[in-house]
Amino acid sequence: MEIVIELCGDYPPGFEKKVIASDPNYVFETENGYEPRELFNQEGYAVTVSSFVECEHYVSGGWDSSPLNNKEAALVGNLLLFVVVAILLQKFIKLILK
Amino acid sequence: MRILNIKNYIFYKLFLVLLILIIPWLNQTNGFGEDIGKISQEDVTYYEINPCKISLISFLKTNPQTIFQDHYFFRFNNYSSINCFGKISGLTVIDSNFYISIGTNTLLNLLIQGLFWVLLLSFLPKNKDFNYSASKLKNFTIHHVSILLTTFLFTFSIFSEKRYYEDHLYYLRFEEPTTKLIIFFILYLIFTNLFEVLQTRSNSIFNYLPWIYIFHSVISGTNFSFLSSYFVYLGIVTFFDKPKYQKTIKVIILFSTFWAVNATGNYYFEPSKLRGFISSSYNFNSTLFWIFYYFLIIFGTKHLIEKHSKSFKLQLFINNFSLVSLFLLLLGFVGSTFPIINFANYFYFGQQKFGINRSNPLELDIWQEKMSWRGFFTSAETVGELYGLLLILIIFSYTKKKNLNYFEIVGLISSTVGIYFSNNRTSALLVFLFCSYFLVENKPYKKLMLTISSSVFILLLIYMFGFEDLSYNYDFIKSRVYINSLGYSYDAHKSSFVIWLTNNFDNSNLSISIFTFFSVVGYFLNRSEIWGLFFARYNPTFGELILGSGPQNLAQLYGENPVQAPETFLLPHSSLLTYFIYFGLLGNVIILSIMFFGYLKNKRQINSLGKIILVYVLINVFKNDVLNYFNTFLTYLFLYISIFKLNTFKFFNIESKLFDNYRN
Repeated sequence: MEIVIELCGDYPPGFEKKVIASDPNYVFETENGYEPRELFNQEGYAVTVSSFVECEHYVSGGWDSSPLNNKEAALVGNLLLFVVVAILLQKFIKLILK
Repeated sequence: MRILNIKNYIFYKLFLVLLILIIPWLNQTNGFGEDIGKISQEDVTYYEINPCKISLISFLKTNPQTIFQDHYFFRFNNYSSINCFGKISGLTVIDSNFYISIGTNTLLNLLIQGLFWVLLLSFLPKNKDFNYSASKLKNFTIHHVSILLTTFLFTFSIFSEKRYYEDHLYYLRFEEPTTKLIIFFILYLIFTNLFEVLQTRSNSIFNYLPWIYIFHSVISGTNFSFLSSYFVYLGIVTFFDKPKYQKTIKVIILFSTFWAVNATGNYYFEPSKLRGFISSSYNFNSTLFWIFYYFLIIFGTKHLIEKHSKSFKLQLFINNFSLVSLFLLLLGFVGSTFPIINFANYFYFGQQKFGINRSNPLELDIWQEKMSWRGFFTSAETVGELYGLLLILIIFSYTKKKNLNYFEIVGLISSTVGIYFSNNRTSALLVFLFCSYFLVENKPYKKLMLTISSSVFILLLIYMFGFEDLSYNYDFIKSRVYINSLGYSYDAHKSSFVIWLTNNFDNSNLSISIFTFFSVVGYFLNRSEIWGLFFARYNPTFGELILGSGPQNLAQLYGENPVQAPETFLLPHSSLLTYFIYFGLLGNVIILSIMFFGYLKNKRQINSLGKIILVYVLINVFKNDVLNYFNTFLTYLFLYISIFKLNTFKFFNIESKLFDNYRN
C-alpha cells in the first residue's frame, strides 16, 4: 500500500479495487487532472499510466520506477558535482581577476 | 579595441542566450532519431509506448501542425527525471484536444531559467559610479553572509512547503542530506550571480521595473519569484549595514510570534495563478518563511529606493512601461495563436499561469457581452489596471511636455487597446477621470471642465452598473454580501464570521455600519457573490481577527471551513480582504495609519501625479487581488514608498533632455 501511495499518489476517497485481471477487455479510462506516470517492469519495459486505478493495478502487479531511480540517483549526483565545481570555479576566476 | 571587446562580450552573451533557448529541447534518447511517430486523433500509441525518448524539437519536426493548431496544448511535467528533460513524457487526447506533456525537472529549471534571466539582466546598463572591487571589499562579509542567509531562507521555503514540492521534485527524498545540499548549492550558484549582476546595475532597477510584467521570473516547479530573492538579499543587507527600523521590528516580532505559534493546523492551498507569491501550506515553518520573506522584501525595496532614488528617471520608466504594454499584447496574441510559443512563454518568462488560449480578444459570451482577454498576463483585471496606470503616466507626461515621444505613442495605443481587451471598465473610467484632471489642471476653465468630467464619469458609472441595480431598495443592497455568505455556508459549518453577522446584522453599531458600507460598495462593484463566498470561508478566532494569520497565506482560509463553493476556483477579489486574513484588524489599522500619517507628513511634497497614483492604487487594492502578485506588489510598494518618502515634484519629474535624446 505504501509503494502504491509513493508511486501513484494518495488513494482517492472511496476507492474500491476492481478485479481487472479477470476482465481481458477492461479499458483504463484517463482520469482528468491525474499527472501521467511512468512505470517499469523487471525487463525494463515502460508503461505510462494516466489514472490512479491504472497505476494501482500495475504497481500491485510488481511494476515500479526502480530502473529509472538508479539512473536518476547518478544524474543527481553528477548535477551536485557540476554545481559545486561551477561555484568553486567562479570563485577561483574572481580571485585571479582581482 | 575596447569597443571590439565589448561587442564580443555582448555577442558571447547573446550566443549563450540562444543556446539556452535551444539546447534543453534537443535532448533525445539514442536510437530514437528515425521513424518518429506522427500523431493523429486515432493513434498516439507511439508516445504511450515511448515516454521520455523523443526530444521536443524532433517531435515538432515530425508533427509541425502542433506548432500552430489551437487544439494542441503543451504542458510541463516538472515531476520528471533529469534524463527526461525536454522530451515528450506523455501524450493524451481528451475530446479533440491533444495534451502533450514535456518532461522538465525542477532542479534543472532552477539552473536553466536562473541562468537565462541572469544573462538577460546583464544587458541592463551598469552603474556609472560603481567601483565594484572597492565596494565589495568594504562590504565583503555582509555581502557573502547575506547571500548565504538568502540561500538558506529559500532552501528552507522548499522544505517548509513539502506538500507542494513533493509533486514537483522528482526522486528527491526530503529527509536526505543530499536533497538539502543540492537545492542549497543550486540556489547559491544562481543567487550569487543574480546579486552580483544586479548590484552593479542597481541604479537601473526601478527605471526598468515594468519589465517584471513580462519576466514574472517564477521558476517552473517552484513557489517563489526568482527576482524577489534580490529584494530579500537587500533586506538582509539593510540589517547588517545599518540596524534600523527598531520600532517596526518590535511590532513585527509581536505579530510574528502570534502567527507562528498559532499556525498549528496543516492546510494546503494550490497556488494556481498566485504561484510565486502565496504560501501553499499553513504550518509553523511555512508561516515563518513567509514572515521573513514578506518583510525582507519590503525592507529591501525601501533600502533600494533610499539609495538610488536619484537615479530614477520617470521618462525612462514610462518608455519601458510603454514597450512592456506593447509586448504584453504581442506575446498574448502570438502565444494564443501558436501553442508552442505559449509553452515557451511560460518557461522563459517564468509565467505563473499559461497565457490565454483564446486568440480573439473581441469575443463575446452567450449573452453577447464582451469577454475579458488577459493575453499574456495572469489576470485580465490586473493587466487592465496596469494599462490604466500607464495611460495616467503618459497623459501626465504629455501635460508636462506638450508632446509625446515614439515610445509613449506606442504605449498610448497599446494600453488603450489593452484596457479595452481586458474589459476592465472601472480602470477605464478612473483613467478617464484622472486624465481629464491632468489635461485641465493648469487651465483657467479647470473648475468647469472638472464638473463636466465628473458628471460624465458619474453617468458612465451608472450606465456601467446598470440602471436596474440602482432601482433596488437600500436594505436589499446592503444585505447582498451577507445573504450570499449564508447561501454558501453549510448549516453545520457556518464560519465564525457568518455566525457573528447573523447575531448582529440587525443591530446598529460601528462594526455593522462598516460592514454595511463595504457591502454596498461591493454590490456596485459586482463583488457581492465573491465577497459573500469569502465571508462564508472566513472563520477566525478572536486572536486571528485582531492579529491575522501571517502574510501571504490563504491555506487556512481555503482549507479550514467547508463551504458550498462553486466548481471554479475563486479568489477573494480584494487585497483588503486578503490583508484581513494576513494581518487582522489591528494590522490593517496600523497599515492604514502608516499610510495616512505618511501622507499627512509628506503632503506638501506630493504632486498631483503622486496623489492620483495613491487613489488609483488604493481603489485597485480594494477591488482586486493585486497585492498577491509579486510584480504588482513590488510596483505599488515602490510607488507608495516613493510618494510617502520623497519629493514627488522632483521624483516624478519629466526630463525634457531625456525626451530629446530619444527623439534624436
